[in-house]
Amino acid sequence: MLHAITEPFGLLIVDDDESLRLSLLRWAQSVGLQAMAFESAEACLQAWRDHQFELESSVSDGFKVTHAILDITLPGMSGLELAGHLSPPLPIDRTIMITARASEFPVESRQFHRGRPTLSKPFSLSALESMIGYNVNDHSDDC
Amino acid sequence: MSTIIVTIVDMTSHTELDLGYFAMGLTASVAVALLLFFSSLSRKGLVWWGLAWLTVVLATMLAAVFGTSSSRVSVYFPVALGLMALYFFYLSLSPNSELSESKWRLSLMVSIGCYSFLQLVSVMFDVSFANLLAVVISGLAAMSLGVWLTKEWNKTQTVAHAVIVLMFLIAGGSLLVDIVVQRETSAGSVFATGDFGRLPTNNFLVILFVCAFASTIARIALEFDFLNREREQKVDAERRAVQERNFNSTISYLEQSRSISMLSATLAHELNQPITAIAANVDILLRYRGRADATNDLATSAVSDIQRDLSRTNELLDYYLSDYSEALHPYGDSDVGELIAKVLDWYLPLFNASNVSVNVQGCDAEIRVNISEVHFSQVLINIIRNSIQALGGHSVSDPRIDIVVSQTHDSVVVALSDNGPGIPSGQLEGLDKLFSSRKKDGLGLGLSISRWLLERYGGKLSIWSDVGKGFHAQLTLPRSQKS
Repeated sequence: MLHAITEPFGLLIVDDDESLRLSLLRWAQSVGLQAMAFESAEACLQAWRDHQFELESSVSDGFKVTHAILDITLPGMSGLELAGHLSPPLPIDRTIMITARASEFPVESRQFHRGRPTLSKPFSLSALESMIGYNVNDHSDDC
Repeated sequence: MSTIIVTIVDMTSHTELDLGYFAMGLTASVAVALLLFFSSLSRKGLVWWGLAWLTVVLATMLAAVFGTSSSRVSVYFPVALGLMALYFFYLSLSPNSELSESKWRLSLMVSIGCYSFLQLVSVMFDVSFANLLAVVISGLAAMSLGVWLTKEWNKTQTVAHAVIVLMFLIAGGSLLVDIVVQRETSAGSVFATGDFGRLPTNNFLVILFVCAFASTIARIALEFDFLNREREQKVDAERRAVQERNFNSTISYLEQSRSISMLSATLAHELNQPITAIAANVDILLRYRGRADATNDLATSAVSDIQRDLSRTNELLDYYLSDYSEALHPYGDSDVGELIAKVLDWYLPLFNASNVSVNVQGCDAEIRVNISEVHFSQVLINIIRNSIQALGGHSVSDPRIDIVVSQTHDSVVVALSDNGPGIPSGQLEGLDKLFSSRKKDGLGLGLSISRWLLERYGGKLSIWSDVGKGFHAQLTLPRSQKS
């Protein structure tokens, strides 16, 4: 699950849809971002407990997560519940929620659901990059 | 009873009016009036009231036939009965009174009032015509009560009516005989004198004639009332039936609309997944274009994923279209065993690849169900696919899916079980509803669309699970009449 590591960005991707999960991993790989992907919130938490990745910035070695991209609707534990487990230490504004059911949310919370930045599916990679504050042009030399 | 005694005394003695007789008659009248009053306070008491009233009529008739002082005997009754008539008339106007439920009862009360008035007038002014009318109306009142009693006692209704008609015939016939035989006595002289005692037979028959005639009229009126009620009940029943049909139609429409809306929402959400993945992969390919570090492997895998997601999108749309194309998939009449065999045949490679064995029982005899073959296959595939994924995703020794078909007199049950890890109860709840899929990939509509499809055919889907032992689904469908 571990992919190319490039500081300072480390992405945690949790989505039960395999196609989307793979495409996000491929995108991360294409732009040189470090990323880990999980199919469920439980699997993600288990990996955290197994120290497959770290959330605290003080940890210098290993996979250091700076941003999480979480699907809101997941089998079992929801993405929002998982976000609650991750932050703190992960800052709340670095937890990007994605959903295919934004139409069910109130209009005012479709881009900022429960205090977290939210993207509605389908979304463009540019929008995602903008959300996490990653500028491809700034890192074009890294790739 | 006292009234009758007074009447008999009067009839036998033919004495002139004195104070003792007056007091006795007045007491009797008051007693009867009180009996009428208190017995009229309940439905059951109304019968006693009627009997008391009949006593009055009987006393009047006896006096009219055998005595010469009938007017004096009955002079007290009209006063009391007039008051009673007014009282009952008041009750009949009250919306809370049961008396207001029947129009004929109101007629009865009015009749009594008229009788009282006319009888009083006839006594005071010796008007024979008024006396005759009083008898007519008393007969109407008495027989109306009789009709009411026959209405209450339905079993004797026909007999009572026959007796009334017989009385009518006897009375009418006897009157004609009297008129013919006693030519010197004209009907006019009888009516004109007002002396009912001079021709007792004629007078008695006249009373019977009038009573029977009046009762027949009352009976006809009552029958009309019954007819009106029946017609009103029929109209009400038809109106209720129409309202019920409209209501059911509306509910059905709303249910269908709700199902369509939910399915549309589900489809839109499920389409979002592959579309997002396709858009991401296209974006990646565009970015890769012309880049020095672009690799064929990454591009190839991206294109492959795009193709897979496009196929997945098409499959979703096929499902969607199949659900709404009734013309393409009309209600079928299919053998369950054949349908299961077809589905298993389609998925044989998948079973082999996942090393899952399938056991089918209960399909030896033909069992037919009313469902589109495509829809039944969809439901079966959804459930089997779930089981294969569950069995394949966990290291289950001897992975197995059991399918058992059974039937009752009106339904067919297809029970599917796997020996996978099962689903915890917390996750099982609502799993067959929308937006609760546990699938890692595939269509994602799963059990929700299966339930929806089965319910369209009058069937149902039940699911349960034993954690660590397996998942169970039970499809119930109406059995075809051709089975």
